[in-house]
Amino acid sequence: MLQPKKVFRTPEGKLGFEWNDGSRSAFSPRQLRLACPCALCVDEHTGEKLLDPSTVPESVKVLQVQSVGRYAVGISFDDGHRSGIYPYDKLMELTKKA
Amino acid sequence: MLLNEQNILNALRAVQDPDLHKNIVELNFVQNLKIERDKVSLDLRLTTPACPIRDRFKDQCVSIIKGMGASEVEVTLTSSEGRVGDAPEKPKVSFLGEVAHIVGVASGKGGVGKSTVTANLAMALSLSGARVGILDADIYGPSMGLMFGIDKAPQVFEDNTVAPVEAKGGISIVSMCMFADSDKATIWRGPMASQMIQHFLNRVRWGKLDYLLVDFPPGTGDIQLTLTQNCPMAGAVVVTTPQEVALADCRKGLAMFDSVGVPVVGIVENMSYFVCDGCGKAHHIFREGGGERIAKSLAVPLIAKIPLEPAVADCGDLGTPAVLRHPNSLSAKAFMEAADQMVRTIAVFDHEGAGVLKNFNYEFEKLPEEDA
Repeated sequence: MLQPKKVFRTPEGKLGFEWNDGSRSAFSPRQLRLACPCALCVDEHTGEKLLDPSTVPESVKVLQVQSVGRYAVGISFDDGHRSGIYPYDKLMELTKKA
Repeated sequence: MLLNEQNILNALRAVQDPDLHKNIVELNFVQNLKIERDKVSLDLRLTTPACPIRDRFKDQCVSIIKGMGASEVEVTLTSSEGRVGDAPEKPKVSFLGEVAHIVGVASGKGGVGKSTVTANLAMALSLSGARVGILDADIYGPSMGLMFGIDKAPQVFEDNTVAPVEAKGGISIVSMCMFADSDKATIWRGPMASQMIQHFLNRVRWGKLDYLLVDFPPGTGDIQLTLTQNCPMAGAVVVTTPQEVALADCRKGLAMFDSVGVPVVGIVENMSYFVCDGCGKAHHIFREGGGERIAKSLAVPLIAKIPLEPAVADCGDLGTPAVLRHPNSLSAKAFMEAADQMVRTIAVFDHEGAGVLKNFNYEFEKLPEEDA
């Protein structure tokens, strides 16, 4: 089971994770905001993306990162959005895509 | 037109809610209206944060008020459940921090004896010297009150926190049955049930515990998800009976824990067999070997096979778990062994998970800076 050993930020302002498999990931706040899987950003039934990327400012920032159970993090952004729950394996997929 | 409260409210009556067939003023959605010369701000309090037409409401309000001569109009969308887009706010106090291990006891299907297993595992742990608590999260059909013969209500403090009731074996228990009339049904929609569960999780003064067993409601739904999201579970025990209908649901229970990152300690097969008091032979009433099959196919250990024993079945109804009342029965021994294995397995999980972050809440700005 993939779990974080450490959460950090990079000098470029990315949010970083060190995983228990020894690997590391870092995501820009905007990349995370655009990947938000919540029901306001992605249609629950069709999986269609509802979030218009042009509405997300380039300078969007992460305010808070908190654990959700043992499988995910909840991230709140300074654009007021905080309903996204990011499962660890989804973050790993995002790392591999990048 | 003069920008005053009366005029603005009158004008906003033009904005209709298409679902409720009333205008937003009538519905009391308009709150906190402030007028400063030609600047107007107001809150729109919607019934649900996910209201699909909230942006249309907002645009309509802005254009109407601007049409009345305002230079700036600020509309903040809120909902009766908090600001739109807000996840439910976690209360600042939570007493789960003093609990060393939270263990879920669940089943995919109802009626397999999950509460009996929870009560007896708790008693077995307590008899072996651990400090144990039970959170009866089965809010629709709480049974821990009956299983332990509790007739006390928990103490409620001024800050709305609750002290658990100390039951037989020194076990701290909080159950929905302590707050509701036993003859009245709890009929709640998901959000209310989830809120109640969060209240249970965060407002109970558990004190220092080695194990907190959470008796899940049957199934894989809203409450189960709330539970797994709001408390960092060290592991889960899944209860089943040997027949195929129960096993199918048991698989779903296991899959649920897998998808939320909670490791499964093992499977308890309840009502495994019946030992005849006349011939002394074990009869496999609900077929044989179901627990083994599922354990093998999903690589999860089978930690107990609990027989059907009428004397033990009585225990639940009489308010003393079998482990305490009939310690030499086959069931009691099976429960003691299961509790033992649970303790050992959780110790292994602890060891494997050493150095892993379990429960955190960081401000981004305060995170340590490192290179990727």
